[in-house]
Amino acid sequence: MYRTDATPSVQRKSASKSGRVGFLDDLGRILPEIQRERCDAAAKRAKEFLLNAPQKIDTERLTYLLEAYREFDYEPPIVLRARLFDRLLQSKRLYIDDNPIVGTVTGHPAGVYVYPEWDSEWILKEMNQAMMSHLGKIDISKEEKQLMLEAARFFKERSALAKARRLSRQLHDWDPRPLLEAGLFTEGANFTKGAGNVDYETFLNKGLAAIIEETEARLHALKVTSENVGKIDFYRAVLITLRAVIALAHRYADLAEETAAATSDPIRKAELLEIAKVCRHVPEHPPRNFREAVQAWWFLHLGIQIEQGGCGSSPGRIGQYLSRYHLIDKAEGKSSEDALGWLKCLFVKILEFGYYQGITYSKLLSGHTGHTINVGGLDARGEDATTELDYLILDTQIELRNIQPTITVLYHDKLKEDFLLKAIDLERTGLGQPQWMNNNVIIERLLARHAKNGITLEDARNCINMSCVGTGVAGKTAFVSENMTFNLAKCFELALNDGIDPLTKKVVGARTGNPEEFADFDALYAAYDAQVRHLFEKIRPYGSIASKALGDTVPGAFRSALYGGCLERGKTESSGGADYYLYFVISTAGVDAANSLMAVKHLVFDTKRLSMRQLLDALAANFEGQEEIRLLCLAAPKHGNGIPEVDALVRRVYDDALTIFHSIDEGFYGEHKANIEAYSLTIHNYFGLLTGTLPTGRKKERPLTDASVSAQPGTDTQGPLALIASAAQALDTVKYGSNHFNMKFHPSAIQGIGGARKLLALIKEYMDLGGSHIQFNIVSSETLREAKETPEEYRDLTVRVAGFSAYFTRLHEGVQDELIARTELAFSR
Amino acid sequence: MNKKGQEAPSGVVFDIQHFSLHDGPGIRSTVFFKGCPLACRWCGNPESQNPRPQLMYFTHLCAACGSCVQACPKQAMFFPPEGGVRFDPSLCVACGACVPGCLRGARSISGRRQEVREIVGEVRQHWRVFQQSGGGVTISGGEPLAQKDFLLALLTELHDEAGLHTCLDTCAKAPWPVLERMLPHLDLVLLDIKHTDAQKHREWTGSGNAGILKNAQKLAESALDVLVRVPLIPGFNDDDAELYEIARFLAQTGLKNVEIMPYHTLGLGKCRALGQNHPFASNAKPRVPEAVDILKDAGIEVEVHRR
Repeated sequence: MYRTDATPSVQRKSASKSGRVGFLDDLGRILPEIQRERCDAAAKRAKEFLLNAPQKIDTERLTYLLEAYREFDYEPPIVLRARLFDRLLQSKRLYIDDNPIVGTVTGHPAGVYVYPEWDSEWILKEMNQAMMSHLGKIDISKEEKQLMLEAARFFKERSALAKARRLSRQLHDWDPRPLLEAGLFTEGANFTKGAGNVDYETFLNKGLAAIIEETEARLHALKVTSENVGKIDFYRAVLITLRAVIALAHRYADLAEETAAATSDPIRKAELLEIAKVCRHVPEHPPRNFREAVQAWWFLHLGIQIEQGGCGSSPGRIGQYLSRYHLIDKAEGKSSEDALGWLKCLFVKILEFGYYQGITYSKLLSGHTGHTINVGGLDARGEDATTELDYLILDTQIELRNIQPTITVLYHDKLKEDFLLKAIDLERTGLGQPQWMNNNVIIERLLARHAKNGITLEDARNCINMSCVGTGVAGKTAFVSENMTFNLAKCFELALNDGIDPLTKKVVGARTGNPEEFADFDALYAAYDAQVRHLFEKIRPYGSIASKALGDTVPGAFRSALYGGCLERGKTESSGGADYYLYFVISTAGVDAANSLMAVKHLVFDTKRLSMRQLLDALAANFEGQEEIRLLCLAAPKHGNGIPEVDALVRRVYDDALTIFHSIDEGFYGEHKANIEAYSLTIHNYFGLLTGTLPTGRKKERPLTDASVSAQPGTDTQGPLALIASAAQALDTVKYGSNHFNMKFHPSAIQGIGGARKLLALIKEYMDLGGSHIQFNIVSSETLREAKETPEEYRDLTVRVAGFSAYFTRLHEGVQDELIARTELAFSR
Repeated sequence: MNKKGQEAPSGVVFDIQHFSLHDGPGIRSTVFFKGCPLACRWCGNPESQNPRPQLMYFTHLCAACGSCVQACPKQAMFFPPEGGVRFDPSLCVACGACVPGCLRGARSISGRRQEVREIVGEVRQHWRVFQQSGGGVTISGGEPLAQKDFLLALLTELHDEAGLHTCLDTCAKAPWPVLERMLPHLDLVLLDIKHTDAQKHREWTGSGNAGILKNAQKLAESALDVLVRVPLIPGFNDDDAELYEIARFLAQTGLKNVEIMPYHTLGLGKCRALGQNHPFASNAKPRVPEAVDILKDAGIEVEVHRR
């Protein structure tokens, strides 16, 4: 069980000259060095606990949810939702553990809320199956199941998803289920989503009391007109939520004081009283030091998470907007070590988040929570924005090695050498962090994407990476989806099957004819394009319907208030209030589609090595008894090798997807146009399960290619420089919302200062070629073991050994074993 | 043929690697020349010794489908009575006819004649990376000096025309004038010193060391940067006595920078693929720490090569 009582503390009883108690300073605060130890210890314990503890569904929310919907059914949805938020924050169970930064989403450690207002179908269907979050299996009791079922039944017809489905039938006579079941796309109304990156900076610096005052003034200045009714309700709702967050902070202050009164340990008592003091002050008023700023940030973030917890609520440039508080501390004589302590306490808080919204959700995201912290980047004047706190964020992660939050370096040529080298030190941990984003590409992308939304150069420079690889303007970009994802490999599969899904046997695509009658590659390509068009024509209007259903059902007053623009306009995020929109759908398996097209072109049309019939039969048989054909497919030219013809085809696939997408006139957010993101999370895995055998040599139900511009595993054989050149050009990184590139490295490649410089040179080369995102997997011995077992999947894995490089799979067995052993050594350094 | 009617300079190369991290400064392209006057027993690149192209056949990837047997015009691949397929290297002319049909990648031809301009064009694609990382091009092998005209033409193009940092990885088994001609076109030499005793050297490499040591002396006297590489082979040169001799020789000649290349067995699989028996295989670990200490005591800067 998690310890919630006080830590046995270091006893420092020697009284100082001034006669004050040994562990307190003149102002009665715990001495920094003692506080630092306590922060370290608390972070360490929390992390250990999270590694072992199962997450638990906390159904307390459901009680208040049902209560609020019954009690406040006379209110418009925005106010009803605000009252639910208030009820929850005023009534939910609180506890304080030994982390001096207080506040948790749910009433017990590692708790997870469920949100049947979005979708209750999964609850009804999957109630008795195992539930997994990124921290492991989720526990749930019998009584809790009962409550979940009750809530699920209540929202069966009331959920956003149910409304979207009904409206789609009524307006378009279209049911999305056959396309969903075929693995062509996933929809957007059924999951809660993170809030991208809200304007923490303004809300922290002003304090909520000041924002409340401003909002009251806005509300009272409004005449009651038909035009203003929406604004009136929005401001009413915002005021409820802002006050609720202050009330929550005060409840923690009360609890800390009560606990202090019952505590005999003098240090713990002092610590609790200090917690109480902090919570009485923030987030209501501006923070007075770094610790208060961290606590204030946490309360704001907690509000976002409680209102609607979901993947992609990113702290953004937290090391920059909290820098002023760090500087206050330094002026008072505090050290960087003190800041490090608070950062650790914050990082373990973020690690604790878990989301669970059904099996599909779990397969798509694998529990990823998308808490992305940005370091580096430029300021509004175009100068390096890196702060000392950014360095400390890297230090914190080097020490903690947390999977969340994740760190992004906003990369540009003005970054300082020591900062870059520290970022490489983080790579050396093998954590796969930081990820590197091309700051200049992001600026260009935002200027292009928001040209019609009046973007300024300053806003574009103040860009961030939020969620996974999405980008926007810090604090001003609403993070909303049209649909969640689509699957280009499936479009290719349909082109070979006349629009009939081989898995479900249903017609889910365009009727593009018998592929044996395709006269040439152009005919095949046209059939593929027709499938993509058919898909977008179906799902894009449905995406608009889903956006409407979400706005009708679950408008979020708190998160809207925090997005730049909504308070000024008096509108929620879902009614177009935010300054900018990252209105997205995620493309998956573009590389699989391109490699498939290339393989058919090469084998059937160019070399005529196979007839279309032979190929179709082999695919239908999942290559069973057709190993030679599978090997031919694997050996066909592949993306990632700098082959001009393949590079051009990959680019064509991506260019066409974007062109077709934009040729369909959907405009739910007006001039804030939807756009395609290209990344994978674990969507390639989810869609892989629903995608049949491909002429890339991939068997059915196997994962598709990860990321969006990576090579199909095992098929890049020309070395890292050829791979990055192919990857950087695979899609237009300015027009697309993102690109996503994973690269594997043997640990020896980044050893020492020389290795660090070489990796930096490689990163710069990729950025200079126009790549926008890269992250590294330092190859593990695990991979090498797998490579030994299934060499055909790992043909690209090179290992550098004395005097020569070798393809790992071509090495003698004993040598492979030696290398496996050596990799383990390299990692244990 | 070029416009003057001469043969365009060309040579046999068995690999070009474009992400070499450990053969000189920065990120480098390394061009591996085929053919070597030595035949070191421990050689990690056995395919580099023979100057001609050779077939490599990786039996552990082979499924004995027989496509090579069909393709081979010389019957170098055949079905033996005990099953599977068998390779007779003595019949193989390395024509490569069997390679495209091998879907499992069990067969490849090592070595291809390439023109200087082809190689220069290929490596210059990576100019930005060279510039960023302080890298360049390393010519390795085999022994590059064994194809001296090709080497001179290539270095001239890379160093004088393209302005790239060039590095020669050599065993220095060549007449001094041959090596001397290369020096104006080089920025760095990686010089192998294997043993100070002529007899032992001959026994293990097939050749004496008198010329090599003389060349080492002359290189030391040249203005060029030289990094000595000592392959540390158990039972050959890792005993104290020989290590002291190497240290003494280097201290005398003034070659103060050394990289120790610990023995490894990674060439074994390649030997097998060439249908050869490896002349030397040891499970012993080379005495790296002792070597480092002895060389350092002689005032030499020592690094251990990272694999």
